Amino acid sequence: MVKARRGMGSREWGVGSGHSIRGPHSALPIPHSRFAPGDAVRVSDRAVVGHCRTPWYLRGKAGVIASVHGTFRDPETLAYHKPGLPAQPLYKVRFRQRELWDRYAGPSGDELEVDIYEHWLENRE
Amino acid sequence: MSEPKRRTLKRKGAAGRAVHDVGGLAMGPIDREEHDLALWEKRTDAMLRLLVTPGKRAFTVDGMRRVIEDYGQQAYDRTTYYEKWIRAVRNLVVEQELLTREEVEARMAEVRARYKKTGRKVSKENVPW
Repeated sequence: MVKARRGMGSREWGVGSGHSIRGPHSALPIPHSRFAPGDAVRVSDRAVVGHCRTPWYLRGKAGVIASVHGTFRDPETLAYHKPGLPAQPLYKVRFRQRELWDRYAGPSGDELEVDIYEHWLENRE
Repeated sequence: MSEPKRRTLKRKGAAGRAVHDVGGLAMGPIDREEHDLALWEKRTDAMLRLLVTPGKRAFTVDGMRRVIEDYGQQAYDRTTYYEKWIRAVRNLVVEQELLTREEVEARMAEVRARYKKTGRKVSKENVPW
């Protein structure tokens, strides 16, 4: 899920899984999430073979954790009929549009929020 | 009924990316026109939903994404939304051994023959596996 955000608005973010059907995509209990809202992170710059939900334009980019959605089975292995374990915490990560695009013409406060699984995130600083 | 355009798109600077992963590339304007859905497209949607439902779980939508992302650039660009879906559903029911490839092909031949007999339009194209 990708969501563009105009300017600097409210900092309140609800946590919702958005999945009502219990299936491979329902949230599992969160055993441990490495990051918390406000943490500075960087998206891993690795290349992959096969299904992957981390868009190319975010690889290596710096962002901030906005919220934790829950823990979900890993789509990278679910895609090959495996159980998708270990499950991965899924975060809403906020990026500055100016950090993502060289010639971004919009206001400097514009942000983009993208859902990213924990195994794609690294500590920044 | 409007038809979506079929063309292979240029991917300047796309080295290393998967075929679907084009966010941020200069690829021209997005076709935002709404398209009418044919009956087969609605049926495709229904089939997919039934196959991935928790009780059935023949495969996952992630599996379908994986098959679609593996089509190769030309097939990816030149097929419509539900054409991508139905090809993936067909391949996944064979991959998961719900049907054999021979069963699917025999049924396709049967439907084709029935349609021809009643004068209905039959596509000459074979969708690659």
